[in-house]
Amino acid sequence: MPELTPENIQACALGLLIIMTLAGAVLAVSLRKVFHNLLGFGLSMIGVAGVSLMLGSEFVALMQLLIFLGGIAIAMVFAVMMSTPREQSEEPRSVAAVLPALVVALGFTGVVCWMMLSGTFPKATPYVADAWSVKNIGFLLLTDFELPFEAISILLLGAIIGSVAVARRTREPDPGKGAEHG
Amino acid sequence: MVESLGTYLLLSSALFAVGLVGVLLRRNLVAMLIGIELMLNAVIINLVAFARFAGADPGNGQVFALFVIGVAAAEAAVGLSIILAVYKARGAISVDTLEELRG
Repeated sequence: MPELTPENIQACALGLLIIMTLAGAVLAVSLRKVFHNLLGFGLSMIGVAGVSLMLGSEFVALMQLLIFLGGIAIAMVFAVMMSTPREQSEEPRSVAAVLPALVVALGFTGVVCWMMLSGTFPKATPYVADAWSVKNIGFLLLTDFELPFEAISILLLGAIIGSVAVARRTREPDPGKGAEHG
Repeated sequence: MVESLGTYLLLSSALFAVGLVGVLLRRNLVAMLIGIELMLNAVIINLVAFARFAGADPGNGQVFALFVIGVAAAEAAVGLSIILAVYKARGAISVDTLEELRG
């Protein structure tokens, strides 16, 4: 039995988080009911936030939990509840449709992995808590990254107004298509 | 394993591939949006990992990750409202119902 050192515990935690992330992602893509996909997506997001935490970025991890799990996943749940009957599941795709998608994705991953394995990467820089602090992030946001920060504000404002405008516009559903429910 | 950049890069490329399969394969619009969010999360893992391992100032990578999160939120809001508009107009949110522009 391996010794219980901090390094071993860290490695175990990272392994669990990686399994959680990838398993959640596979569930989010493979299951046939959208609601189940969303549960897998939530699992995957918790895993990704944990990975950010392992990398030392508490603030990014917290924001990922808040926005992806607490914001986007919940909004998707509402969208699913308003648009899809709960028991409706997607038709399985034919092999002719699955194969090209898998080839594209595996080809992409293969190329990226090949590039990664043929390169050398630096060792981790020493962890300096000050540089990873929220204070430093806030300082950077209002000095070096002032313009992108403001641009993101405008983008979010536009997204809010645009989404309200788009969602409000069409009032009555087309009769004769789709089942009535809700 | 914890202290090597390769672990995180492999994780993020695997996550990106899974998201790509989701976008290419699924016909439900919400499921396609989930695939896009998975790909954005792969990018965030990459940014934070490079901030930890190769960055001069780790703050830069984290700020970039925050920008990606902001764009993801905006994209999800607009995407979901478009999905609701499609549902109101068509009564279904499968891409099979959206084929006016198919050649």
